Amino acid sequence: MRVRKAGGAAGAVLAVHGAAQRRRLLLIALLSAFTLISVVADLVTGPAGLDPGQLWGALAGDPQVPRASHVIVWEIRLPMALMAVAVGAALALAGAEMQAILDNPLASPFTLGVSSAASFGAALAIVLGLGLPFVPAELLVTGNAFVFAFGATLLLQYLARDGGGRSATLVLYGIALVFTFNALIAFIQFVASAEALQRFVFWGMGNLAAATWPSVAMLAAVLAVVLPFSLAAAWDLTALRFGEDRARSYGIDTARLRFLSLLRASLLAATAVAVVGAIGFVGLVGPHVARLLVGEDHRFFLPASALTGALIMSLASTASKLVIPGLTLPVGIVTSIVGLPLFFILIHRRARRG
Amino acid sequence: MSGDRTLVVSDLVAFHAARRTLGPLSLAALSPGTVMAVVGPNGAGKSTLLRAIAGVLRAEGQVLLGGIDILRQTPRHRAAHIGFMPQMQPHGMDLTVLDSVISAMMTMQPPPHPHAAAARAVEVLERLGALELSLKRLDQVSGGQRQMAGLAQALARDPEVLLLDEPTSSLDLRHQHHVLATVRRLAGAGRIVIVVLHDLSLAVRWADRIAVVRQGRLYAEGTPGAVITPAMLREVYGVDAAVEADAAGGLQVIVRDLAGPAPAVDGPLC
Repeated sequence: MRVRKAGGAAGAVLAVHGAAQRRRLLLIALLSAFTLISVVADLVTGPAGLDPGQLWGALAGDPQVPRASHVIVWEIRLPMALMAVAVGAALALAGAEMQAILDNPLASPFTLGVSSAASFGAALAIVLGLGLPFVPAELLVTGNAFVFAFGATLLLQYLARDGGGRSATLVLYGIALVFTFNALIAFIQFVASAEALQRFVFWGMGNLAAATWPSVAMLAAVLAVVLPFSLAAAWDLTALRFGEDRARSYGIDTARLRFLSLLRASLLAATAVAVVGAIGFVGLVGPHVARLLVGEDHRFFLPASALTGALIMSLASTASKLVIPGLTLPVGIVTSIVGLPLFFILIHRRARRG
Repeated sequence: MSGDRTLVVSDLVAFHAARRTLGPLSLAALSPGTVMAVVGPNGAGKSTLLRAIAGVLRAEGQVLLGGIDILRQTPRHRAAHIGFMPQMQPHGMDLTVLDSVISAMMTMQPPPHPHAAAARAVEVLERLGALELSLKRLDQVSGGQRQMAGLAQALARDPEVLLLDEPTSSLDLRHQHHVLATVRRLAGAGRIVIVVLHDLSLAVRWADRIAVVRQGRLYAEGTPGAVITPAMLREVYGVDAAVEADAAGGLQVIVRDLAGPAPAVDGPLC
């Protein structure tokens, strides 16, 4: 490609552009730093009342620190704090990808019924023990959640064809899915035994207390596998925001791009839902905040979405321990209470813009 | 771009889902430097023709560029030669005009270095006289400015063939003139430009050749003087019109009245 050296006004434009790029990178670095600080705050917070010294001692393996503190930090707080980060990142990244390929800023695993579908799949496994054949018992919940989440996104993609995804129609389809799966979940709850029902209801509230090292590792592994593929598709996803025709004229196989993106989003949402239950609004609000911060260049937007989601969930995790002293609320309740007003604000802003 | 890089469209048929929406349609060979305007009534298949050549729609037949059938090439390979600007430009995007042009280049195979892409994007915007738009966000510019951004996106990929779908539809007179003068200049640099226009006066003024499309078929094709005739206007557009030479040596279409019932418009062909 032949490029002449820019000078004058063109040089000034390039300088401003370069500064804007650096500002976006700085924002991503700041989000990372805030997330790290938030994780520390999350670790310090809790009903056991550990002071920072004890916390640090337990983390460092100091023998002076009581065994109980060691167990609280390593077996409860650290997995919960890391799970909050991983779940937030996974849901927000899933939301960002769904918003890009469905061309709808209200798309997220929660609003479009993907989380409900995953919950239904999980309910089948938890309550009825039903699942895919040849899937090991420990992966039954995750496997089911994934199959139903992916099925729901495929259905949405089918319904969104021919421009349906460019309007509120898609969100209405999503609401229909939410109601359908919630009704099916209610049916399963109705026929469930008291013990299975209790387990499922607690799971369904979105609870980080269920975090264990293996579940944290599983979600982290899914994130580690998916994120590079998401980032590799960043330019194509940005191009897709210019419309199907434009992207196809660039030689992008849009059907393949959408399919793989939905696959990633389903995998992220389903794994997150499977390990901690349905957690609302992070997948919607995370990408919106990220978009406000870094714009829609998906090289920055995708990681910023993941980090924003991680930060929001980490803050919610801390808040869930502070609302009622001595008690840890299921984090899904906190994100819904905080997320709902944010959701209304986003819709209101959008309506005013439109 | 050598002299034998002609574009030949033969027996082109386009499909939407399994339904035929265009053709078969053939165009005379277009050599580099040529601007062809595609005109016709609403729903005639003008946009479909461009989308089929661009590979956006499934198409059969032949589109030969320099003797190679680009319909048989991989999408990425074809995209290296063909630039397409769709009719609708997206709005509500939190991306600067410059970023949008860079993103157009970064989907090329192989992608350029981002710095080179940025420099080239600025150069293209400057050449289009749109440098001042560079740092504005797409959701904060006018419809006409978005069209300039769309044109820059197509142009930045340096295609041999540029397909523009109604690039002047939301532009005022001055910007219409500016865009079409730019199109003329681009053709002058050795490109083939096919542009869909609704305004026949603009087509007559700026195009070397005009293709009239009606109901998914080619009705007529040739120089503006040969194609834009009262008989064509009556038959294709259903208007009683005179075609007169103007002082600048061009042609002027003066519509006097409707001529009978509106000609049939085939809905799916839009």
